[in-house]
Amino acid sequence: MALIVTDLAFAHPGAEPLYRAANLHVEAGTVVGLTGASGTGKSTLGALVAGDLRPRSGKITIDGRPLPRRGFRPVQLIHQHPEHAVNPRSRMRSVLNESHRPSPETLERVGIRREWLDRFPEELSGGELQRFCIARALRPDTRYLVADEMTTMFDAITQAQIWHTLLGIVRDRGLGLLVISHEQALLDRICDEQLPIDRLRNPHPAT
Amino acid sequence: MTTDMTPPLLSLDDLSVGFTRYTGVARTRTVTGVTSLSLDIAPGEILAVIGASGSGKTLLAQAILGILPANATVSGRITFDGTPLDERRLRKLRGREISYIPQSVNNLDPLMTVGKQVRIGLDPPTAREWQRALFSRYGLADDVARRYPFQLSGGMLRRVLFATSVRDTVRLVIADEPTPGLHADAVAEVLRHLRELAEGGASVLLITHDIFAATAIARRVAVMHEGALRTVEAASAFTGDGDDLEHPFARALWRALPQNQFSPGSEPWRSS
Amino acid sequence: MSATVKPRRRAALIRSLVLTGVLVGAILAGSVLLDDSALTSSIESRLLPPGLDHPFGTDHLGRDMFTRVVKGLALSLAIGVATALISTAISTVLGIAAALSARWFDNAVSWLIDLFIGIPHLIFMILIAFTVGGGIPGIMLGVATTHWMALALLVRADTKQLRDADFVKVSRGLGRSPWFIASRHILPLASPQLVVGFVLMFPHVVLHEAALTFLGFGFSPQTPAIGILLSEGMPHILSGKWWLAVFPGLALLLVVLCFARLGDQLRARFDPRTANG
Repeated sequence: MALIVTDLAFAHPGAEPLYRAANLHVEAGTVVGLTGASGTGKSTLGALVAGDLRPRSGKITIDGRPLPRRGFRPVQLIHQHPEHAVNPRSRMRSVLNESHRPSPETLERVGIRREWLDRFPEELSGGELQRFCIARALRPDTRYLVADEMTTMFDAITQAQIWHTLLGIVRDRGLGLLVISHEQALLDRICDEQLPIDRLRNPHPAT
Repeated sequence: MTTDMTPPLLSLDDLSVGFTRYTGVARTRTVTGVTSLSLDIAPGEILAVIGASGSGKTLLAQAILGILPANATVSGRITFDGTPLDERRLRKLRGREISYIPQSVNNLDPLMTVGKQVRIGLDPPTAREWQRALFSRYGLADDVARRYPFQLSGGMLRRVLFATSVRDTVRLVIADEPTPGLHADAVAEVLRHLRELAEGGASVLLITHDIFAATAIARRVAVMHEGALRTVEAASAFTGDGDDLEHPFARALWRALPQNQFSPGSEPWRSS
Repeated sequence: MSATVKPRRRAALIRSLVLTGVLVGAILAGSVLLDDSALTSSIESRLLPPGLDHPFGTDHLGRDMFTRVVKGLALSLAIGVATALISTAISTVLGIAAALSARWFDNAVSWLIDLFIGIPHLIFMILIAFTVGGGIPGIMLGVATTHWMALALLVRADTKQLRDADFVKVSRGLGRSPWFIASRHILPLASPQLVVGFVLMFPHVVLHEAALTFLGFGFSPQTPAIGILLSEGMPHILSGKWWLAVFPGLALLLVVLCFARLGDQLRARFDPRTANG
């Protein structure tokens, strides 16, 4: 049971290839960190794994099956800016229900208060919105999560709270988690294993 | 240094920033950005302001510089060198006595040689000489002056950015998040340049989300959260378990860092 | 979507909203309240110049021009609203569909837009109105099918931008259909643009409707449409009966300018980038 990326190649239109033959393995139930400075293609890899971008060639399999092109994807991406990841005109209840109807226990565990459900996104703080994005991504059939700079915009307290919440759920459900961050201390704290982005971009360094 | 005895160079008194926003076709609502903030900075002092995005720390800088968006309303008093800082005075001081180091090297003009950009605002007869001196101070070769921003590396551009804001007349430097996503070496270099400015007598207001950058050079650290100034702490108190920190929010913030205990704390810390 | 609040601009917008509202309200109220008896012919009161009894004068059959103008405007407004709604609907459906569908469909819509922009307006309208057989349906169809292109281009561009928004990507990853994305995510966020487009389109629609009628491709001469009034009045200008053409013309101009101004101000409110001034 794993998310496996094999020989993945990708280039943004009109640009040099970003990945030529990248390989990645995220075992279910583990937390893998992807490290590297900003602007080196970490987010692009996250979007590829989550199916938001289509690779030029290569294979992405989820527990042995190819990543579906249509319909629900069992790899869900949690974005850096939660305020961009929810429709500003939707109440939070329908933001959640676009995915599923989380049980009251799940909502409580993620830290969502009942009265927030009737609010609009601009009436919530970034940290509160991000909890909705997490709850939305946690469908029963979700197998893997990609957290792309998920708490970069928040203060340290909010960051610690959100990570404690998410890591608990991820462990209980046996989900695989790919963490993209430029913050080394955070990755050191939460990851079972870490992978520098350079190793994906140049699998066979010329040394 | 007994900054408590000298009068402050910059003094913010009950400063608030609000925004008018549309909520309907023509209906509007006021949103607060900064709530009644009071803060002093002494001559030659490095004061760090830390906070997450949305904490109001950048609005604070924009309010001092008078570069807030058009729909912002400011109340409270800003005093510079004992005199209120109004728009007319600001126009005279900006770039001469008050200078701004923006977050991104994208703020440089891509169509102008960097030498020319550094010479802006310098006295014409001595401008070239000054620019050469600034370049050597920041380790930039003379021929760099004739190049355009796209021909320089990120590190060189950041030094150019410093050179554009350093004038011998400068008394207050406001650096807004000058170390975003930089490597440790680059961060150290930026901080060293800021410290040099303070040693030259200028006050430095360092706005950052990075507690470690703040405590590395500042003596005092102002902690902002959701538009309010929660506390001003001694930089030296950010150590160990943070037991020396006075305000519980500062303690919680320090202990929540992944470098420390990564503790989620117990209080929600929500003002509204 | 939320533009910067500029107090002076906001005040101007409110003034325009009130002014247009009052004008439309007055026309509608007038058309209901004014007595139809003023429209019966009477030999003794024919071709009277403007006066206390007949503020806009009377026509060659002795009918009160003020009543005719008000009722004509009301009819024009009603037809204009219906026509602009049809046109806005075409823009919305084609614009969103083009941006969300396969590339060949997008290209086909672009080609259609270019085609319609390329053909002279009036000729096309006359052709369509003529084919349908004139009358109200002919006018509405002719005008509606020639006014949707500019708004369709805007909607298409907006949708393309929204298509790449994070919340739309999330929606797709959750397996939501293009139909769901269009109705739940695109339409609510594009709606200010649609309202602006509608209001800006409206004066054009009313003018072209009047023009078609004026040229004789519209209503039967019995209909009190503003275009009919104008075409009847024009020959009389030379014989000194100026009020027959001037008052209907000025009234039409007032309505059209009012809406054009409101449209510009709404555009400045919702999309300050494309607005000038």
